[in-house]
Amino acid sequence: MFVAVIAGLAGGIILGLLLDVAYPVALSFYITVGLLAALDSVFGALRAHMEGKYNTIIFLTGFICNAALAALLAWLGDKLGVPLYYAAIIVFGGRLFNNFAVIRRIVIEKYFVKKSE
Amino acid sequence: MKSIVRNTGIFIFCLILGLCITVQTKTTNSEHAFVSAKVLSDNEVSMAAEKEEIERLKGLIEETEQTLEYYKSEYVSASEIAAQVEINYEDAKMTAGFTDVRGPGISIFLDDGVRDLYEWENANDIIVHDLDIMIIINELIKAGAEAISINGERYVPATEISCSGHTVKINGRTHARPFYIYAVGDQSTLHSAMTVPGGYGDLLMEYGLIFNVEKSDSVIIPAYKGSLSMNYMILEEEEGE
Repeated sequence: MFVAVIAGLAGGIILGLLLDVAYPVALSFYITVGLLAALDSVFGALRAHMEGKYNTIIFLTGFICNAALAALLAWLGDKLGVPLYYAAIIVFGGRLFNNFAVIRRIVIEKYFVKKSE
Repeated sequence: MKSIVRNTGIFIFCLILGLCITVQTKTTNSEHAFVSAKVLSDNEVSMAAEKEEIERLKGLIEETEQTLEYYKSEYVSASEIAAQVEINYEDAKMTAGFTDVRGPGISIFLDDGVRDLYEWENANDIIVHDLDIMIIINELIKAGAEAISINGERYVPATEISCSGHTVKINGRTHARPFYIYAVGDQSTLHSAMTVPGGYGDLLMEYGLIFNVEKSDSVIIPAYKGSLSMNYMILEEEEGE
């Protein structure tokens, strides 16, 4: 699981550096917000995996739907003149830290606390 | 088997995520800017104009160098140089205003207004002032006039235009209304400079003065009749010569 995540990220970054792909600057803002949502999904998947509750369907749908919703919010906020993307940034940013905290606890409990006992 | 499918799914999505992050970073920090077609064509046009200007200046340099070579070459006799100097002298005389000149241009007729005054109004409102003439001349020079005369007085750097009661003093001589101003230059530019809505001619006509502008294919401008004696000015020599 961890190996798949790290290998995927590394492979993606290398691929991005090698390939000369680009999209219009106008879209870059929505993609940034979508990226945050996707990153949150990955962390969520790791956490679920460590808790033993991981489900591929939930992960995939979460990944796509969250990213799409975040981008949609950013776009809608742009049209309405209200910075709605703040909602996406705060929620996903907060959950990112939450998930990371849970992962940290689980790792500590699993590998360090047991040893010391 | 199930874990392989699972890990493959995660791997693919992480791959996409990493790719997106990298592309995003590259796009944000990229030195390439997206330029619209209009800006591109505008830049192309201005570039072509600059190139043309460079070519023109290069031609000018070459021409001047050739002239210099011609002067320097020992085959040129003294009389030839004298003839060249004579031509230059005539040119300078014409430019300075010491010869009669002729060319296409415009003629302006300027006279006091003839409308009735309002009860409270001052007659100054509808008569031609020295300042009116000065502003018109300034507008003409701005529009590229090469030679200007006012009632037969050639306008040169030493020309003064001053008020003297009901008349105007130009080049030391007193002139009364009406005023005929002639200018040599590009006809349409001069004409439009004088008749442009909101311009000074427009203002004069609004006040009720008589102001007529006509294009003329051949305007004759007389020479400056005074003398230019410089008492204070001396030629500045460049140091180290």
